[in-house]
Amino acid sequence: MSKTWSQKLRIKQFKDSEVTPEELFDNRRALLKSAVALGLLPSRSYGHVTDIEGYRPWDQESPGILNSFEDITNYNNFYEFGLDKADPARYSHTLETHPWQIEISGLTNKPGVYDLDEIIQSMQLEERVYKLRCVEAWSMIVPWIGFSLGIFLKQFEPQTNANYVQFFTLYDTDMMPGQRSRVLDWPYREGLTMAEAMHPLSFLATGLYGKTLPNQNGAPIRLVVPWKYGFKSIKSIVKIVFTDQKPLTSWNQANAREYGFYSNVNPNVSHPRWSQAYERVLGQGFFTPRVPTEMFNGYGEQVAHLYDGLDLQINY
Amino acid sequence: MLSIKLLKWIAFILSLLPLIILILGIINFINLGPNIVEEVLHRTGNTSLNLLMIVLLIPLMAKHSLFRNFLILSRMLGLFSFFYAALHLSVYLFIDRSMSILSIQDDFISRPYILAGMIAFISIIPLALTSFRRAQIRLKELWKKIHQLIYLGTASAIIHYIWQMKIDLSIPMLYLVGFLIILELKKGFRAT
Ligand code: HEM
Repeated sequence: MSKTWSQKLRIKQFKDSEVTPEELFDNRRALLKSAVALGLLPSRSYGHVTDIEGYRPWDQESPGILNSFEDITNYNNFYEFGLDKADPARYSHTLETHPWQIEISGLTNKPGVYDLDEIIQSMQLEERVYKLRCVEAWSMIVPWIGFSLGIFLKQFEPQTNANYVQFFTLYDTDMMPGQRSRVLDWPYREGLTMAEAMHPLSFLATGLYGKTLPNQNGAPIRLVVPWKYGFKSIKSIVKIVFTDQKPLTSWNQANAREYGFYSNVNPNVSHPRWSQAYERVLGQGFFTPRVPTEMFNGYGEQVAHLYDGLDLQINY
Repeated sequence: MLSIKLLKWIAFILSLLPLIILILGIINFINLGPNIVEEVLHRTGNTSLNLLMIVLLIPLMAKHSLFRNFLILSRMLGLFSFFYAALHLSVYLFIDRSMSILSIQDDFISRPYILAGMIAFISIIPLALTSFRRAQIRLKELWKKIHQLIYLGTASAIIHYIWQMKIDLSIPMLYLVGFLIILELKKGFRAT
């Protein structure tokens, strides 16, 4: 198999500088291990990740320098495992992702409960290097592996009045102890318009960095919609429903003034309590300044037409 | 009972520890996570607030003979709190916003939590300026009045903390409850 985009980039970094982040990471690992043993640092888990074989590597330009596997897997908003960004890495080992089923229901000709292994077998896996922009004004570049959401959904023959797609995360207070605290109305719900869901950029990820998804990143399957704030990209999906009405979405339900249904990345519409004009790129040094946020997170050319005639100041 | 000298040294080193951790993080010796600016901002803010709460607690603890000596720590811990607040503000201005006047102006006008933080910081400036013994002797009653500003400072800092949270208010609410209990206890002592 030819080298994937992420492998190439790591090789390039190795040539460019004497000490790569990966190398530093290895050196530091010994130190970290002893710190963990002494109880100074919490141990981190990645669930049971395994290598993914035979996916089509990303061959387009990257939206930026890839974040390290360590950064991507240790800074997560996944309230099902706690509110701190380090909590998912610490506590998500309780999530058992095998076997896993996805229920497809609502306005479809092929409702049913489908086994994830079979779904993955049937799809052509590919790599997509996307920028993830969180509503909290930080971003990172992630090499996802998975398949197109639209191609996947079409197999279930959505009916003509299916205008929206709603997604649900697993609800299980033993496997997801964070759901015992009622910070959000569980299970986590998200939704897209049918046009958004069918857009070729919309993606279902089952892996990252050549491996299956670590639990903290939404194992075993999650949504990735790169032109929207990160919370739209729902994790650990167990149910997908086709509907004719705009579905409930968790953050919108929690605070409609702060989190809209669309939640497209938009530097011109501030969150009521912070600006969205600039973002911090994760993994940079202390003295690296923020960078300006791009409309639709830089994917405007591909997606702006979806919102023709819609006032994005009102439909944030 | 601990000797005063030893007590002071312990307090000094403990107060310096958060700064040492931050410096080690900034020079990449220890890993403070991928968003180091946010981490430093949060750690300096939390340390400053924790020290303010401790300074408020000390007179209550000192009622107990075991902690009588702790009174002499108030000044040092108060100054450390001011020091961390100044670091916190500097990180916000010079690092997080890179002195971007536009974005800071926007923050001051439209984000109440920044205003609350500013009130907190401004209220503890006079305390730091009059913290030395001579000021205390010279200002007498006025000194006591000035140092009542610690209540305004702590209250605004807690409001600042609450307003900057995304959704879960439980930790800043604990601070608020703690603060209200301290106020209540102080009232009780004054009445008797
Ligand atoms: C005595 C003065 C102050 C105290 C005690 C204080 C304390 C705090 C605390 C406890 C936090 C929350 C940390 C966390 O979430 O763990 C915080 C966050 C923050 N403070 Fe302050 N603060 C003070 C003054 C200021 C001032 C003057 C400014 C700026 C003008 C400021 C800007 C911020 C910012 C930007 C955040 C982070 C918000 C975010 O992450 O979204 N603070 N502060």
